Amino acid sequence: MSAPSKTSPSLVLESVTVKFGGLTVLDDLSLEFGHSPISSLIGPNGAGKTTVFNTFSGIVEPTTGRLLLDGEDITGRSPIDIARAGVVRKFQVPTVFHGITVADNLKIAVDAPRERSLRQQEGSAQSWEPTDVAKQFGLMSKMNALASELSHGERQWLEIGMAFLAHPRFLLLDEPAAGLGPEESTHTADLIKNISEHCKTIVIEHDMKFIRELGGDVTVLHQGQLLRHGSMEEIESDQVVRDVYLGREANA
Amino acid sequence: MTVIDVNVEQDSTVEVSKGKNGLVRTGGAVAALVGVLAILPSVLSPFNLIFAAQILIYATVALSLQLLWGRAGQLSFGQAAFFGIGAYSYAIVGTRYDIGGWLSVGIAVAVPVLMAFVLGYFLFFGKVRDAYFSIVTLAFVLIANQVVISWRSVTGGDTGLTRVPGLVLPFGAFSIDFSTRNGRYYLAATVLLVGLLVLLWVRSSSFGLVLEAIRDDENRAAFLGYNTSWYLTAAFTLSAAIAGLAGGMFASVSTLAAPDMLDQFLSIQILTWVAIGGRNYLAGALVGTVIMRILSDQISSFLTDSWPLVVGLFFIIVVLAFPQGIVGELTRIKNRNVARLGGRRANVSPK
Repeated sequence: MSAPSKTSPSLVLESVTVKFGGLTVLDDLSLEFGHSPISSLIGPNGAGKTTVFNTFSGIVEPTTGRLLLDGEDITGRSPIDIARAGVVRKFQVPTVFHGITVADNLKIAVDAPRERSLRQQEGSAQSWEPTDVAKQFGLMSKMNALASELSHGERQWLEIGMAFLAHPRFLLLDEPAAGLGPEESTHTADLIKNISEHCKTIVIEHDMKFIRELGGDVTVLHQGQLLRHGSMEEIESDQVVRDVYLGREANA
Repeated sequence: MTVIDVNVEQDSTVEVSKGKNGLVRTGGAVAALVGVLAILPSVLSPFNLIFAAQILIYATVALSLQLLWGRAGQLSFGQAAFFGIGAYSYAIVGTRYDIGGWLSVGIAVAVPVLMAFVLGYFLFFGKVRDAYFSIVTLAFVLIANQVVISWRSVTGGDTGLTRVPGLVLPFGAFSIDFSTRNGRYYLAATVLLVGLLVLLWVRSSSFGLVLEAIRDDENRAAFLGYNTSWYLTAAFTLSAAIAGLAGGMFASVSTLAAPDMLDQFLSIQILTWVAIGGRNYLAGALVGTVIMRILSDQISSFLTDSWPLVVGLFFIIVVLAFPQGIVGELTRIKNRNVARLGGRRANVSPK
């Protein structure tokens, strides 16, 4: 096992193909995350964005290709092992423990078992306590409320907060702004920007305004393949991207 | 337990069982229970005292199911299997091998624990959950019952094992005789308190918290890195340990082990006690068992054959009227009143 390096962490798909029956969802796709604190993954429906997350978190095993975390091959590891190695995700539908309090939700996240190397590598993200996160995320007054009593937005923030507390090296956020109003959405973007100072963050979103607010680099997928990679300005001015994706939104 | 040091307005529907207040209240409730248990021998007739002893042991089994169903979200129809296996283990070593004392208690716990661990391991790591889990546990109790009835040379078949010796536990130089009439009652009360204390510990531990998380969303827990199959296997095994202890001591208190201590009918009864009391509460298992046992006993005294029909009807009515059980309903009413009073108080003396 390679020792965790002090250099920038990296999460890599290496020539990954994922097939469900006859359907090719990811087609010889190579991606590397970790250079930028925040990376966004965009693309039309069916482009394979969520499948990329499912592959990173061990739900889907690549038909061919490899999955590397800091250079170490983690292909075929179980979701539990991958979480313990520090790849933590937020689901598309906000998923929290509804029958227990917000404080207990956060406690479970911060107590989550981790590989020893990750425990030892106490970076700034590791020293965060549930109360720090609750303050940041505006959940302080809800600490004793059951998670089921939270609004949709608060639930999104709670789950992001939980994933952040669970000592991630990489935080995968699947549609963190889904179902949020404009103000909540801006607040969420600010939260994610703060988080990304402590761990690498990868975001799937449809909302272009949200991605503009996030900054960072953008990866565009199309039909399971890499279409473009660059800054948001480069992506938005790219004619091919406009044709397959953004143009459709502009026309709508 | 993380202590959150903020002043927030108390939410109306939250069960406040944690923190300092919760500890004081739980301690008070346990002390009150001990008080009631201590008084019963002086107010009950000898006959009713043994009846009470049996109820206390049944309540212990109900508590063990509450752990699995209420806290971990897995409904088992097999609780009577572990209860019965505990009872038969104790009875077999007592009547055939003359083994008593601590060893017989240990065997009554160890045999069900071993079986539960093996069964639980293969079920939970085999991704068997929810309804499928319930069905397999139902099959387990049916099989165990069949074995007990057919394996006459060891289990005594339909008649079971009689003249099971009472329990005498040595503590260093002296020993406590739990085989007298009052002794049997105190044994039952001790079993209940031991089971209750273990489960109170679980409730306050991070183990218990993770079980609740698994109940709410197992995937979320797994994707945080928790090995949820291990947690469920551990809960299943601990639940069987308490059920087995209760079963063994039931054999000691009743001086017999019979097939009806190990059948699907008892399993379903245990389930109804927990449901009626409120499956999300330890107190629910206690309250439900006491009410249902007394009710069943009263009704069966004049409806010797058809009492299960009446009890079943009562069960359906209670569960339809109070889906959270009696204790759940009382908690809801109390929280509503607290919220109303709290609001009024806030108006009178604003900060």
